[in-house]
Amino acid sequence: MDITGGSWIYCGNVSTLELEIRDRVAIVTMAAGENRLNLGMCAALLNMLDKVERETDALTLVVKSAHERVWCYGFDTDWIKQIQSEGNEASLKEFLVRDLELRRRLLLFPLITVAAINGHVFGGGAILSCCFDFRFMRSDRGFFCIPAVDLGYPVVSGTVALLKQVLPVHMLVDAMLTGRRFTGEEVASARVVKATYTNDILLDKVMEFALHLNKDRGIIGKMKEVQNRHIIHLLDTEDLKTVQAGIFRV
Amino acid sequence: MSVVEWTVDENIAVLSMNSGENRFNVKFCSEMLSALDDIEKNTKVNALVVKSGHEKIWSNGMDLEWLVPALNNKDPEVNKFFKLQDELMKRMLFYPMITVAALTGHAFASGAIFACCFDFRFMRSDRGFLCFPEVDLNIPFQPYMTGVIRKALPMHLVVEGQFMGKRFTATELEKFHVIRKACTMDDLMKEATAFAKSLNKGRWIVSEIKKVLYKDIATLMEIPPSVSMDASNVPIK
Repeated sequence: MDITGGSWIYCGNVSTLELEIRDRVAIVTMAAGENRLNLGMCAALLNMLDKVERETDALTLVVKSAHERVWCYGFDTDWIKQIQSEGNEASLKEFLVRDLELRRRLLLFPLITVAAINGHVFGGGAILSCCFDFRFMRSDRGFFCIPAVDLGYPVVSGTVALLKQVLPVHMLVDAMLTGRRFTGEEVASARVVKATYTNDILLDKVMEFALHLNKDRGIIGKMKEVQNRHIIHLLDTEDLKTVQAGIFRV
Repeated sequence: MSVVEWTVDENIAVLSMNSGENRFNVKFCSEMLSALDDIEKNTKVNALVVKSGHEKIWSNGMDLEWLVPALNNKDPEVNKFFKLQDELMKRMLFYPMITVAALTGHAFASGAIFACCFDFRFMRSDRGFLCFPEVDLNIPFQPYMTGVIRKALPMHLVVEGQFMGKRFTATELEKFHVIRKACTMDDLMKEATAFAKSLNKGRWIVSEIKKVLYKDIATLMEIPPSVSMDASNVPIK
């Protein structure tokens, strides 16, 4: 899935990912505003994951947002409209491939991954959060929502397999076909997120959890390969072809 | 006392694993498989309950005391053992009658995976954990093992069980329906056998339903192990 030679129209605030290491925990802060997913954001996140894996000895990854009420707002619709108006289908395709690559990387990442969802997760952002092993969410505000049905964005097979793994059946259908906004409490009671806390203590609680894990990378990587193999299989055999063929339109 | 003993009680068979901590090795797996054959061929029971003779352990998983040196010595029995273990898991998963694990104590590692192969589980409430310590033992799961864990546990517990090696209590497992009921030790066998007797379902239809219900796991069982177990991986002396 190497598309590094592609042309980039817009790179967003790619320098605005911050990395901090505490004991054996890597804390990545997404500080690109609403952290909307575009070509630049996907590339930045992928680079950061490489950096964490290759240049640190961290055993657990925590990803939070610097935005006061948004963790990740999903696809960067303004950027997508812009490149579409320019007829730049290639960049759109490239972005969709990169987005799949990012999900794939997280699903197989050899560290335990924890999403500290300190704000809204929408669309591609909600799907991205489901690629983490554990999710914690703030209880006082923030929705978990996949508005694909309202935006007219189709979903691919791997996404459905991923969401089936994380969401209970009744919530999956609601999320996919009504675009319902779930509160932190709702996703916590369905165990989509491990726990919710008010924003002032969320990160402390996440760190309390993350600092005590310390599991070896080798075994975690192997276990994820086994656990997520059906999702990776769909992603590699169907989804990549779908987006590369340009069948998937947004 | 034999490794495995079983009796018929009305329409059910009650099997007791009596090999101490019921560690999985060639002898244990062979005797379990042959008892399962006997029960299927020589009785008309339509449910099976499996308990342990040990006072606090249902099964502690693979017999590492034998396995680790055997791996180091390239003992040919090792391959035979892994095949037998897989065969036992598969046999229980597709056993042509309702299967009930009466968890009379700890179920760890392969013992926990084996418990997940049963259709239903009851567990004592006063002591005993269900636990997959593989992450700390550095032993990867085969695809079908994750398959049976996912069949028995909701996903949030699958992740905690696999990646954290969390020890689950009967209370927590009951809350999420991994076990049908947490019972005091005095009530456990009464509850498990009463439930098994009450079902009275035909072997043929149960078997046909299981073939479809657990088909995804059967598919995973066809995948050869991607990572061969290496003794140097196992940090237990």
